[in-house]
Amino acid sequence: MLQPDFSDYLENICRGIKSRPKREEIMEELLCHLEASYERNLAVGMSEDEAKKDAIGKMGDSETLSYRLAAVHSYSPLKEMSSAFITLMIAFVSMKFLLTSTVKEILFLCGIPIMLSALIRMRKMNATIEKSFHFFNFFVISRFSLYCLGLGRILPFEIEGAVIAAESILQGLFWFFLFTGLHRFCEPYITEERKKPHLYLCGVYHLLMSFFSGFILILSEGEGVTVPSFVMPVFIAFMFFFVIVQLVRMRKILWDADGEYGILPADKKHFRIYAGVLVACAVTVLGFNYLSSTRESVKTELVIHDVTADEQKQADEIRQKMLEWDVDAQIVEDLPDSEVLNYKDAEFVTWGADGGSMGGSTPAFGADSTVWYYWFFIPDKEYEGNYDVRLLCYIESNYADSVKGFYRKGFYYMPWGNGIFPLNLEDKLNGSFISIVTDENGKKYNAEPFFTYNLADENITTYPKGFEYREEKGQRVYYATQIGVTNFYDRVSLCAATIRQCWFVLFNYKNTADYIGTVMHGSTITVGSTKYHPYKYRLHEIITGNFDDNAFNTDERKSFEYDDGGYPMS
Amino acid sequence: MNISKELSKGSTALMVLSVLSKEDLYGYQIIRTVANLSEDVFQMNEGTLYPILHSLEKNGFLESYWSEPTETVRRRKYYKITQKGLKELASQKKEWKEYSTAVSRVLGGAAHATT
Repeated sequence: MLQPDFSDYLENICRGIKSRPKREEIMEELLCHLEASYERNLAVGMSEDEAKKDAIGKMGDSETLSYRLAAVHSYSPLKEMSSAFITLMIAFVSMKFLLTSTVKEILFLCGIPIMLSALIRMRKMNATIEKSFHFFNFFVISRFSLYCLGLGRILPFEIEGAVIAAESILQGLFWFFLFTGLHRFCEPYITEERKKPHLYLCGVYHLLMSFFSGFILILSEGEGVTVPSFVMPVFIAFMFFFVIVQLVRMRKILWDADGEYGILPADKKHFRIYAGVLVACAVTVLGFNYLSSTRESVKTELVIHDVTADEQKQADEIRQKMLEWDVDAQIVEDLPDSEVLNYKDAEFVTWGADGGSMGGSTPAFGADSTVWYYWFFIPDKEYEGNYDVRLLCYIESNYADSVKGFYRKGFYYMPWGNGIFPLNLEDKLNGSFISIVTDENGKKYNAEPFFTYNLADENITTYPKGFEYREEKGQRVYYATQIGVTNFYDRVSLCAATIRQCWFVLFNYKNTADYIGTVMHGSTITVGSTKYHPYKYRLHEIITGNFDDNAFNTDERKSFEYDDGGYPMS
Repeated sequence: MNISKELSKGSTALMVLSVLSKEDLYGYQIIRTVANLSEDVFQMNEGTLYPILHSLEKNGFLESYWSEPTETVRRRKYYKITQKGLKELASQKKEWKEYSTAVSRVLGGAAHATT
């Protein structure tokens, strides 16, 4: 007997079943039923059309049946893993993202909930992935504890160091068990046609690196070790992309293992949610970046006034307050002319450069040195057409004999180009930059000035490296064109740039309008910045007018060279 | 007589297990057997049978196998109840009996109350 064509109807019913073999089997089973129903209808006297319609009608609405069958047949471990794959990739990239510090930290924090959701989906795959899920939770708890309690706030530095080392190890264990679990999961499906993913290697790498960096931190008492600056970025980039390649290989194997895979509607919804969260975070971060960068054209024109006795007293109070924070700060008091200025209405603007090791498994590799400064600026009344900015005081701490340091140990000193700057140049026109030279043990280091120039002489022949000047209204205006160290580790160069910047704002040449200006704005110090350095400081916005971006003519920006022109050390 | 969907929903799996406990059947046969045994009271929505069958199979209550095709008939997928399925059937039967007895008592009691 010639059977009618039920194929369209059956394809509609079975479209929700993504496994091809399963789909074909169910279609055959239902076809058998429809044909039997059709024959019975013919036997009772229906016409062919009526018999077909009746058979289909009794079977039911294809949409409803499709949904019910998909619900029964949708789950399979391979499918779950495949759909969790994208979540895993996004989470991995987020947590390993290497950009400027603020963006990196935010993306790292975004990566945590995404990774958590991926692990929740995958944890039933095997016991090893389940273990990674638990270690991930421990790691997140320790990381957030550090955020809240660490960074010199509550925890003593010794305990904080131990927690950081433990967190590093926890993170390593998490990655190790995750990659090992993925390796075990896809191993049975590896065929000769597909390249074998070396996921086990990825896990071993993370574990070794985390243990190594944790031990280095502990053994060096937080100082870390020195490596050439190119080593870490190359190494990290290589491993980053190596892991991505292995994950992609894994996905291809799983895709082949069980026929064609698509993404079920429920999974699509999850992906949309994850993608939406990521996009929202990215837009927020980029938006903040953009908003702050658009204010780069702000120019500060600074004039420093003399200090009164009351102001000195106020500055002492601030210093005392900082000391109460239980940080290893050494007040620089014995420098000539280190007077402080009025801090009336001063606000605490920043407490140092960002330098923490936020993410990654190699906090010990010396890149995360931080210089901590406390700057107090106050906006003041307009003074001779310029906005008066007063630097109250800053406390700088010295440490060790290298640029590397464990940031949570206290304040660190960047020994190149650093200096306490004479704030009152009324009778000290020879602007000599004196390096901070005393470490925590009282050891003095070479006080070779970074450079010297004499502002009394209008024909300055030697002026600070990285500065140019222009003639304006018959006067010479200096501005910075160079930041300094261009380094993969923004924090290192960041600190150097910070140093170079903060000094030059303080000079006042005979109380005239000749000054050295800098550009500061709400949250970014920008000194002839490059694309690498949108530094983010929590700076109080002290300038509200007289914006002039002529100080930063992009044509005059120099190329940036690594400045390793010698640490001023004995 | 058309039984309401709500009433028949819960009992479909029970009836499927029950008919399969007697002999192995394929899907269409199950529909016809239930209709015959119930004297056409239960005219199972044919589409709902297969998700139930597949679900019962996934849970281990049923096994399936394909028959050999003949010249006139394509191969068919037969279902057979497992030991686990028999236990499940016994359990559901017991539950159904308790349920139906309780409903009957209530209905009988209500009838008494109204008289």
